[in-house]
Amino acid sequence: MLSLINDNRSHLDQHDFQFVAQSQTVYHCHHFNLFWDQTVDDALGNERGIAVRTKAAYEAASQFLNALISAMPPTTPEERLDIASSLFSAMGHGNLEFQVTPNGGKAIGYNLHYGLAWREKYGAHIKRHHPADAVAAGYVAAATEAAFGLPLGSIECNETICIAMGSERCEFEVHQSGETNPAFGVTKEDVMGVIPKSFPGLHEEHISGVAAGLRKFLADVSGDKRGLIEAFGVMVTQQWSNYYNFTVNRTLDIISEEKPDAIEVAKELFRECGHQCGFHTFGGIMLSPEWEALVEPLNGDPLQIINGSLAISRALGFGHWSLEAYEPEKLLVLRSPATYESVYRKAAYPVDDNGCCYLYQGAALAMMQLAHRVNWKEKPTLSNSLYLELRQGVPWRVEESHCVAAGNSMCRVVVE
Amino acid sequence: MRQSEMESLVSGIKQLNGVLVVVMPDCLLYSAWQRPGQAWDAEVVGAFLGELARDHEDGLDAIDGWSRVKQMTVEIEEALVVLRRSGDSFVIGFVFERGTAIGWARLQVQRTLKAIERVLEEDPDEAAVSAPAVPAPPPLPPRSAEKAQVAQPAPVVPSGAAPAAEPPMPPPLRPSAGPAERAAKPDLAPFQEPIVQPTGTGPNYGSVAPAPEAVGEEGPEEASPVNSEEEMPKGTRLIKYLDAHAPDTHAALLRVSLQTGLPLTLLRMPDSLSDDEFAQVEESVRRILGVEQLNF
Repeated sequence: MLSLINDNRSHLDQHDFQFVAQSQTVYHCHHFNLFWDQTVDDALGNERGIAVRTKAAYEAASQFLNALISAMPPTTPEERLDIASSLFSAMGHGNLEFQVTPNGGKAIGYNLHYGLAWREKYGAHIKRHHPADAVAAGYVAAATEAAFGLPLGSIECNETICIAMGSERCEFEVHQSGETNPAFGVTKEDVMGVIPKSFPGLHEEHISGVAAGLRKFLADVSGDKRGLIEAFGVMVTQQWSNYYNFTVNRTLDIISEEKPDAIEVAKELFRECGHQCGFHTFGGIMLSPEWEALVEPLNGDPLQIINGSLAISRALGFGHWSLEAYEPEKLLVLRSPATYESVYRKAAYPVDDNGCCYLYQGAALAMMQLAHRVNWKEKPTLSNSLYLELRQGVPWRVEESHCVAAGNSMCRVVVE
Repeated sequence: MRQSEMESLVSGIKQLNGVLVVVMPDCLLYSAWQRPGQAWDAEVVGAFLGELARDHEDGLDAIDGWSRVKQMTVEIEEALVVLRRSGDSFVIGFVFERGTAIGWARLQVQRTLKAIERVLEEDPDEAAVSAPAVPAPPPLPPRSAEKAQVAQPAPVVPSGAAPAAEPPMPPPLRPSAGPAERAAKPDLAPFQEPIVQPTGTGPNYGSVAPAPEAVGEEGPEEASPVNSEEEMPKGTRLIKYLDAHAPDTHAALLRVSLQTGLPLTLLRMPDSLSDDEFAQVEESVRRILGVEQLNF
């Protein structure tokens, strides 16, 4: 099934965006994914948070599956469900078993990324009382519609049993919604219509070369028998950027209306997701044997970490993150012609005064932390405890000075 | 220091197998807590850790400008041990499970140390240790005096032996004891279970959060004359409880703010919360910890 993804994969060279069929995709680790969903739920409450996340996943998955299935020779509903299940596993989300008809039914989930990762990270300390796999729920609804050629929005799905709540597996109820909904999300064409001209940064040749090698490596990464991608010390998913973009923008829309005083707190927590991503994923990749083989051994030079992180961000599909300025211990300035966050925002929303690149901001801060506060020569374990230690007393602040979604010609963040 | 007091402070810390308070410089165990099932002898380990710290301090005395040991981390096959100096009188050893992440262990030490020191300060026995009835060695000299002494470095003291040049220390007023002996001590008040707050109207969660495992982050409230957890205003207690138990502690207060819509500035002054605001925060903490009842 990886071949179906790769056959439909395209890469926007100058911007480091990736697409599978019409859908822009990125790679994210479980630390980022869990904190992201948690922030949505914190902002909206569990019930409404699940609803928003499920809708986001449904729209993203529907766009993705329908485009892929349309690109294939005619298939039966059963074959389509098999394809949907295999794609889900190949992208690292776990295994899904469909027991559905056009009228509904159920689906079973094994080792689902969100539920399993939550259980592994938090389950020993906290009891969870609401299901974790809204991404799978949205995907099941989209796959059922796509399999049987049903109108968009006519199927709903909700998770009734979840591994994160103590069960051995996850279960989903699938039923007709009695409605239709043509919403489809931002497409590749939409993105192409809003991206500004690209540009190089400092050390461009080196960063581009490393990014190209990593991208090639990631194209061969696929879920194991459990449907999971465990690599670089984290669990990784390939996911539709529309999922993240829909959830963050919808959440902030609601917060702006209902709890306007909390808007900056919500943004800070979305930035925190980016910081976790930078620390765990960038750091994990650079500590991996693959990095040493593909790139170079780490020598403890902070600039090596900065450049490595930029290359990784590009390979993961975050955008053409480039180095504008760097002063050891004091200053880091990144610029990018766009990010996957800003192109969505620009395509889907009117221009406003605010930057929207929360991942970009948080990850830039994490890059400064990784560069200066981790002893790479000791090959540290990037554990949660080390993370918490580094999160205390961070000596830098980050600000997004320019954003495409705010009408600027680039997205630029300053850490100082 | 009562065994129960120590236990209430540290027993909730996962992977922590023991805490040893050792009187310095004579390296005798003053107080200890061991997790049930631990086979090592607290007295022996306490003496060893005290000597370890003392030997290092003796060595440091020989280096111009270097001060005494503040914290040491010792990794051995069986355990990860963090030693902290506590004033002139004590070294406190935290014995963690083998394989415990060092950063996590240090964080727990940092969080717990103040609380232990506060109990030690209140302990009448400790006061006696600080001002013994029999002559005690002079207090450690100020830094300038230490430097002056460096010109004539003290001989290295063999492990296990008291420094010959120093006057003898009085025996500790509370000699160290094994678990059975400690349990028989008449002055040990029965452990008081922290009060369980009545449940709110929140969702039907299924468990009770444990008692705080760590308290005492430095902050404005630390400067208040409040001496024990029970005497703290409930707002402060609640936020300290959250800090001690929440995952991703650094983000816990932000999460409460986002869930409740209450501004961070208000949450940082938890004792000024109105009853309604306090109830919102309490519900948010329950939600974050996934429990029905808060035991703070």
